Amino acid sequence: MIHRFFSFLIVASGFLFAAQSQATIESVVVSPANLEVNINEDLLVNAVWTVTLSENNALSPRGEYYEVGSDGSLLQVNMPLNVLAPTGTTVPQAVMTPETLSLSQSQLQMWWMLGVRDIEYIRVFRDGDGSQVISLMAITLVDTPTTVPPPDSPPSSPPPTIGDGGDAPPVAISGQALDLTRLELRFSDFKNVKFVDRGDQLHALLEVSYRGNGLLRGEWQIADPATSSAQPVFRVLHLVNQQLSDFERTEIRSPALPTELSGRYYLRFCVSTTERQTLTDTEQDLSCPSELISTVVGYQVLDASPAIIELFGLQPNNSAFDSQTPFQWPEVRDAAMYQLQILAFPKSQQGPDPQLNLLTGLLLPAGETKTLAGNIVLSKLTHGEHYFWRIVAFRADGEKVAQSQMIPIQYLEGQTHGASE
Amino acid sequence: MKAKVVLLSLMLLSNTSLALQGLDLAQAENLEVALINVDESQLEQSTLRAILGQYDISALLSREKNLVRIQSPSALEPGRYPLQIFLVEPSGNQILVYEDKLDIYRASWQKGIHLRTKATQRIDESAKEDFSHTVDLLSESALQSQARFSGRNTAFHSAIQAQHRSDSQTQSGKKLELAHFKVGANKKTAVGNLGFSLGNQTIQRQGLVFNGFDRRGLSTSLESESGRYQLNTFYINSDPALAVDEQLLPTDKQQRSYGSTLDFSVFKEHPERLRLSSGFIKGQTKNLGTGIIYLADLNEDNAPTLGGSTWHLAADSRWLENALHLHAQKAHSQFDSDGIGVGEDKQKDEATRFLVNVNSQGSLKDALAPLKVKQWNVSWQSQHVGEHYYSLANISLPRDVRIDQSMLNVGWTRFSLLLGQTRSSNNLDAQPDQAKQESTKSQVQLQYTPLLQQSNPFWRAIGQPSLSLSAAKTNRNQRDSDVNLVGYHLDDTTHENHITATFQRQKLNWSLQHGVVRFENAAAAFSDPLLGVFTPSPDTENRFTSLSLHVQAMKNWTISPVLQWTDYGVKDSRNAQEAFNAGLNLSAQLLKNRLGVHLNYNMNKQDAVYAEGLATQNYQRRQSTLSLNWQAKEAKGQKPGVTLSLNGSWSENENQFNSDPLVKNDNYQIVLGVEVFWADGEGQ
Repeated sequence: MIHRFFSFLIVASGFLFAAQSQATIESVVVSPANLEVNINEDLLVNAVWTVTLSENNALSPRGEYYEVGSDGSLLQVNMPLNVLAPTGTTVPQAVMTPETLSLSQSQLQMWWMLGVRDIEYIRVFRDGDGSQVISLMAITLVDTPTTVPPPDSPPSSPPPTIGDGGDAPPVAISGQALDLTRLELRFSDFKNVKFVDRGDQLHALLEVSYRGNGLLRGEWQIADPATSSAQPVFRVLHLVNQQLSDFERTEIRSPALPTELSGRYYLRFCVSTTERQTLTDTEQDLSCPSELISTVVGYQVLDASPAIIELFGLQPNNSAFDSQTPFQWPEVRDAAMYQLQILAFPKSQQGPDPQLNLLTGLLLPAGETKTLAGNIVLSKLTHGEHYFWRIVAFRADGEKVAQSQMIPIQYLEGQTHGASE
Repeated sequence: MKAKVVLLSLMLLSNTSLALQGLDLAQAENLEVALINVDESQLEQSTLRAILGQYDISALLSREKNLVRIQSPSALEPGRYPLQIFLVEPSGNQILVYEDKLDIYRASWQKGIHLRTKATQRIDESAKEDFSHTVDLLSESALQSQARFSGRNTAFHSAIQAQHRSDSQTQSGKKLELAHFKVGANKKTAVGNLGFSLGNQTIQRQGLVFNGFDRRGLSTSLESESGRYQLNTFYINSDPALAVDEQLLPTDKQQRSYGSTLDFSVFKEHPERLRLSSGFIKGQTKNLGTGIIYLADLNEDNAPTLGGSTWHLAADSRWLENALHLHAQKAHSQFDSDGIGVGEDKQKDEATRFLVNVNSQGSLKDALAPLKVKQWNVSWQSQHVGEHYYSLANISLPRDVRIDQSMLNVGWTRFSLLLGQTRSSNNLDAQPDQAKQESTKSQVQLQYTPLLQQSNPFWRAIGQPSLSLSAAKTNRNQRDSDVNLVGYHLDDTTHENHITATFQRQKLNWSLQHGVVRFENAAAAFSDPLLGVFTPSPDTENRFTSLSLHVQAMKNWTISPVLQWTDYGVKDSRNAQEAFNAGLNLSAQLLKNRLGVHLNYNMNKQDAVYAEGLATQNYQRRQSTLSLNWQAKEAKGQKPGVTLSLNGSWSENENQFNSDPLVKNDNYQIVLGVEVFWADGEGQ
């Protein structure tokens, strides 16, 4: 039986190290050494491995859960623990290395259902000289119903605040080749909160730090102003299935975020674990597969200034144009000058969040509501390419008074005039 | 004969000085330019054209004999713009007759403010205990304000973005959050443009030391008029913060940093030939902040204080009119990464980055024209980061890794091809007690946008298509003998294949995406009495399909459905996970700008089989929201607007573990709200 075998090894290795004075790992003690775990709650415990060693660093490549009395491993935790040896001394010293153990409620319940009651969590520490020590934590599973606090009493833990990921307890995704180490969610200007106008284009960026190779599965979720002004209710905006395999750090761009309602939005990225939590506590928001592995940012959508009029009825609209195609727009009463802008996405879209760049345009005085593009503008464009155009109107004091949406167009010199008429 | 550009003369007479032209938009000044050595008869026969910055300003020109008058370009932002005036002869010849730079400023205050405040009352809900952590009555507000004065020699600016929520259900957990604030001033001096600012400091750089970040603090800057040199110094909080009473200024020693950046062009006439840059940051961090979650052994209670200093030197050299770009960067750090006063002391380490990029700009614009190539780009990059290299401004940079990346990108009018390879390896110091692991990723990507007759009814119906295909293969391995160091073998291959089709037409955009990722593990099992038993993870296959549409069904009506499906299976096993997501978003303006309705429905379903079928889990969530907004009073100018809203949300969760009874909960809430909105000037 494997646990007996390990127990034997621990005892044997104790004799071994006592006999070998040159060995550099003296001992490993884990705290807590015994743990009682309720299968109706997630397990999340900060353990500390106290490794007494000198000279050489030690490594434990992974931890492993075994069922007591069985040969089979229940779960591997591919999270290496490095223990740095103290420098400048050959006298063995105790180095404390923390590790957070996490097991989902459904994982624990599945083991319980399979008849598992006693578990050992085992780590082997080894140094460059070949000395090794094994240590284990004994875990006993119990089935204790979760107590729900009476409505009038304060909750046993503070209510979760929306999204301060920094407050979330740490967790390791275990048993997979992919180990996530850090998630950072922000907008493309490196901010955690963004103010945008209604209808603006908006994306967020998730920076994922990880080790190994594997599939990141997760959900972009949004709570819009229809619910954020009470209890935020998150809905899935987009599923993510992305292979992480090359740089140990990658950026994932969110889908286009809704900005059609004014008010506060919350954006959340939830990593999907292999199992969802089970529904036992009706107060819990179970929309996130694991709230422990999620992070939130927010944005405010403001109505565009009522002083800025939105322009409609522009031509050309979603069609081709050339040197003979007139650009037309409605007259704006207070305007002193118009900007006709032609924009495009940058050719080298290396950034994760490309923005439309102004390529060229025209300044036109008040009174003009129609113009041809002209050679100066057309010389900046490429036949066949797709662009966007818009009109922005300004007062003499420089205040913007009106603007149109971005309108897609295609430049096809000499081939479209007849068709567009 | 083709049109050609000839520089005839460079002369000017205007209403100001002969030095750099300045134009005050606040005074609505016009600019007058005398074209002295241009023959008046030539002017009579030709057409005048002018470019200011990126804009054709020909429509702003008027002429009286040799005097050209340019109407005040009030639609431009203050700044320095190149100005060119051309004569276009009847033959089509274009002659440059004037060229200079123009300083446009506005010596008056421009201000803008947006204020939105909303009070809501939950008028009904499924059960009080469903919402025990939230209150029924709350208020929330958002404020955005900015002001600036852009004088010719002195400029001032201020900006603030703040939000308040009475129940503290915010990202920081505080009622009042300051998302952004900044006040500052700039003054032109004999040595350059001197600047000072207090508030959110954004460092845009992307490199070994800085990875683009935004923190609260102070900064000063000095930039030469020509941009030849630029110096920035900063004194900031190390971690992001949002609360109004949290790290407004860098006062906490354990969470503040200081540093500088300097850029300098060696050659004045050709600044692009050699641009040197350096950066430095020193300080400490608790390494926590809004939007960040650590999945390792850190949390607020036991997070150690990390700290140290990091600097870098970099050189950028561009040749052939920017067609060739060479970059070299070396960074050095002295950093205590395991907690100050804990474990090891500070450790020194280095990082380097080299880049060569050749592309179809400038001198090489037509290099591949015989092959009808419109654009191309070849690059090679090598990055090496030591095991103990850290930077406070780039804390998540992967360490102990060397990455070599090469890429070729070729684009024709309708077709583009990308070929790339990335190789990475660790254990750079060849430490005998660590394994040497290597990874190679090869990828190919094709994109095709056919040129179609717009009159074809089929393509008119489904939209202009664009097709993208990509395939990638990643191999990871390590020496067999290293199994005795780490306790496992590493030998696996991942194949990723994706196809995406997007279609675009007026009032309808839609896309279809399908991807397959196969993971093949050739690693052997390993057993060692001391290292334990290693069982390689099994082969897996993951498929992903996504369909999304955006339809403007009628004027003022848009519908955006989304369908996604993923399937994750383990080879030779019954273990599998399947997820389905369907969403429908409907927006309508029932009365233009007066009554709007927004409806969302989302259904998310996940089915999983574990432990070879011994355990199953089926989860399903349905959720809908309805929002009705009636603009009772329209905001006009400085008069506030009032909007009344009725919002309802409903959600239902179902979860079944094996054949246990289905656990189900559902809840709803109905919220009434009144919002007052006021805006004046421009918000940003």
